[in-house]
Amino acid sequence: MSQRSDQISQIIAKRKPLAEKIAGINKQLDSVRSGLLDLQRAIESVEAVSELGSETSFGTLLGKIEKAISDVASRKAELARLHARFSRRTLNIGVVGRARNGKSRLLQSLTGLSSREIPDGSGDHCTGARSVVLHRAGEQFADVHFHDEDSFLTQIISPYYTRLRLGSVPKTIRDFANSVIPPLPNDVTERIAGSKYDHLAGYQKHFNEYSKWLQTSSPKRISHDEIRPFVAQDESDGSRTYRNYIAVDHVAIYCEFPNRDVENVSVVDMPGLGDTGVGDEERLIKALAEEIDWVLFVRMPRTQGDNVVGDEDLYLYDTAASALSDALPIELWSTMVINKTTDSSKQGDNSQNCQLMINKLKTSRIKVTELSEVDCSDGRAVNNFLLDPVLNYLNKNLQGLDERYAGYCQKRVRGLSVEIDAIIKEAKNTISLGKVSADEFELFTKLFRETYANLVIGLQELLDVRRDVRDQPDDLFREKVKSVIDEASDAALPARIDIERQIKISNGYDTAYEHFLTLKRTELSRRFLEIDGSLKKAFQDVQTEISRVISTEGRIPESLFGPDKIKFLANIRDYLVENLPQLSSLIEGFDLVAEFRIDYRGMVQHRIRKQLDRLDPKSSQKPQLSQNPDVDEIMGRIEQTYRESLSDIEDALNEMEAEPSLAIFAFVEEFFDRVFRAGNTEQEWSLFLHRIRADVWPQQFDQLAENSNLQQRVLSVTQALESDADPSRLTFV
Amino acid sequence: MNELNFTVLGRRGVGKTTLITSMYVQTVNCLSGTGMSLHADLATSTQLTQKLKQLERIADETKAIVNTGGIAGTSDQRDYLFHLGPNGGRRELAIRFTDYPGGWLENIEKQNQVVQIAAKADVILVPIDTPPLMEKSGRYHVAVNVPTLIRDFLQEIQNVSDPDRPRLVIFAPIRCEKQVSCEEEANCLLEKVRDEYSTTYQGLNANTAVVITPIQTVGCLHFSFFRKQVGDDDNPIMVFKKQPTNGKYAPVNCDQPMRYLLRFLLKQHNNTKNGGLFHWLTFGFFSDVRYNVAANTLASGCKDGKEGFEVVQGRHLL
Repeated sequence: MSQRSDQISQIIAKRKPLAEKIAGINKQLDSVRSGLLDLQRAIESVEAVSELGSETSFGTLLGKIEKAISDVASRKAELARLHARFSRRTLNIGVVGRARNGKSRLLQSLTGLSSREIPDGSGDHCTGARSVVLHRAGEQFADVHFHDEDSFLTQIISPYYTRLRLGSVPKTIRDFANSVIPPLPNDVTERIAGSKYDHLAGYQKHFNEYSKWLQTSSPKRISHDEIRPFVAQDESDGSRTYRNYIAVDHVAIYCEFPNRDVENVSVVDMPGLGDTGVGDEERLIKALAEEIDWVLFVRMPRTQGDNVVGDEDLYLYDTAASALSDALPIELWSTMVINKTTDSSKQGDNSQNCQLMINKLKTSRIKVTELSEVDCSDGRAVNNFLLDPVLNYLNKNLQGLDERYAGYCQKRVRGLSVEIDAIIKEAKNTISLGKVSADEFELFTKLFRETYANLVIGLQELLDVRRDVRDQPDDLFREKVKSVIDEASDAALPARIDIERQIKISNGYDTAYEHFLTLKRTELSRRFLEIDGSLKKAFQDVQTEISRVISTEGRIPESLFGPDKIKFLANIRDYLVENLPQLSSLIEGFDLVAEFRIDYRGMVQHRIRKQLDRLDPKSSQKPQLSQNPDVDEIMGRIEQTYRESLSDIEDALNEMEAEPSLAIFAFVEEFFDRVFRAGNTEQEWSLFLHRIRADVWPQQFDQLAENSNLQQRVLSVTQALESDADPSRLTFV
Repeated sequence: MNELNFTVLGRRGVGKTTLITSMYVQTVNCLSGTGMSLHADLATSTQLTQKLKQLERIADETKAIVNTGGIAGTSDQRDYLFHLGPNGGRRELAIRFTDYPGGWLENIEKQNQVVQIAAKADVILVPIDTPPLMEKSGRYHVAVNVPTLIRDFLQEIQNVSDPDRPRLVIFAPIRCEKQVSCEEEANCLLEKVRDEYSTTYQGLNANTAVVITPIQTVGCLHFSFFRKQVGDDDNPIMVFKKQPTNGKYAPVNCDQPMRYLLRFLLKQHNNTKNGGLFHWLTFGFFSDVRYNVAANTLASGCKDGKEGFEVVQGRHLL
């Protein structure tokens, strides 16, 4: 491989990672697009229920979203082209020219192929299908790529129906083949519409001759000898007419180029701009944009009086120039080949007109990188004076061209971020216009007064009830104490056999006695821990009662703070802290729920400690054994100490059985004080209920609720969109 | 020879037999040196000696704890006859203690018999089981001590008695070793008895003297805990502990009822010069200066206003 060939390979290799990035950005644009569609729908929903009558602001906004959606589609198309360019495995040189300007001859000279593979018959449009010629050493063959029925219908047939206004396009290719083509409308303005209509009719007429290829899987590999029937419209001697080409999209021909320094280079025969074909321009533009790195325009001045830059030249140039337009101006990647013929050629020496043509071109608006005068049938001249300079140029400049092209696309994609950012700002502004009306304020004030009064009365009643029973035993606590005492009373005491064993183990009556005292003490101490649950339950019960009053009298709905009455108050607190942190008095009130403690350790443990200590072997209260103890005495003393201790504990606990009620009353009273009597709590309740009014009074504020939901939806959609359209996520160069 | 009648108004198992035994033992002891002595008749003596041995054995053998139940009670009505008189002299004063099965109190067929026995009595002792009264906030008091039933009995006894007849009613908290261990606790006990029984004794007429006398019938057994009986939540078994570990049978204040009895008799004698209704009784006995002094000495040993003792009504009769 030569140095140049090597460098071209490197350039091509560099394109690949960029192609991957571009594919990623393209996917990201899909998210942006669906975000915009979401926003569009969300805004439309808000608009539908809006009473603001601000059609203008919604209208403009929706218009901008519409435009952004279409811009995203354009950027996606641009990126697709850029992606195609960067995904290519070869450097592609496209040959563009009108019929009978020597395009096929130039292709033959570049590729070393003959008219056997690249038809150059003298008839009109002798080339029926495009060829892509790739350099390949060794085995020579060609791959025929057919249209399938769908692509044939949409890319070839459908444009005729549209442009000639023939009504709806047939649904399948069979429908097209078997139905009568509607007559050409009288008022159709398309140029040479009649010829084009005939062209379409030809597709139908000869359908049976090519249709089987539409069902053939691609590519079909053939030998060079078999190429012509797929690409030509007839045999070179005119002896046979072919229709196969109609079904062919392109043929990839693999052959050994005469110029060995062209590995990684393909030569592409571009669709011609015929007179009667519909959709040729689009196909040319598409092919140039997606497949071509360099364009060779071929123009052969006629020997006689053909030395001006005519409309057809300009039309072809303009069409080609529009392929990448500003993204990469065609003047940076094209050569105008002036096909010089010699005396020995069929048309004779045109060198005079060539020079004149070149002069004319220089002053015309046709701008190309190179103007090259060469005999397209002269293989050596083509390779030396046309191809080599092009490859040298590309070798030097392709990377720059790529960067310029990618930079252009990048800039346009980034433009989307700016565009969308503005839309998001406008969307937020538009929906925040939903201000509280005077009517609504009046309604809220009335509802709030009523509800607040009920809430205060409800909690006051709860407080009164709790005050009445504050000196009474808490039933739960009492029952729990009783059951623990009963269980402890029924608990087994050490059996004679255990004591005898322990006396042996510890080698003494006193140690055995102390051992069992400790054992019973631990056991008893553990039993009373169970009381903790009843104390907590008592507290949970009062929380439930408060929650019930708040949710029924205060109308604060479970839908917001959960059906669990025990978590209800904590959830309200969390909501306030997060959403209305300025309501400090209320928050302090609800804080109390978390701060308040009523448990075994705080309330009970210290009271029964003394009684438990009686079972402590080190305690002076412990009954002493007599001087000559026996097992009976130990059993008796253990039971005596255990039961006396238990009995005293029972007395101590019975004495305090009203304390849980008192503690809970104190909690309710303090809660009441904090949420109703401190500071400007009424105003804080008002702000709280106003914030959640749609949930508190759903019927009265139904519309508001819906609006609020819709607005919420817009906000969440914009949030997602903002993140998707962030410039950092749309950057690939 | 005339008699002074003495009976007890208490349920089965309240410890009447133990009470009589201990009263006898302590009274005998406290008479030594006074020139007077108390004798039981032969049958009584035999029986009380047996009971005493049982009590001493229980107290002695207990090493840690012992259930209530004490010594076996009475199965039928029976009289214990005591004589108080000068050492070696005639037995001038006979005291007849009538005992009957405690179960009669709640047996409707026997209740009238109890009323008849008590109506004849000059001195009625109402034992109060102390642990049920004082422990567990008095949870078992009503079931064990049946205070309402006692009130109704006393009322009924008064109704069938001569209203002018002086009588002494002794409310005696028994088994109170634990509850009178210090003056403060003894006061608590006194207060509690007043609270629970004031309506009872206030319903008695002016000729009835009422005194509260906490007595410790064994001495070394202190209440420890209630042991619940399966199926009977109201009547737990009381469990007592030995304290101190080497303690012996040593009743305390069991002489007090006898001292109050003497004080009551002496007062009646002095008040009415001729002895009033007790003329038959006191004419000979207290007329002898020696015995009068001895009786006075004994009576002055009555505890009053301390250790939970108090005359709560009818002080003029004492």
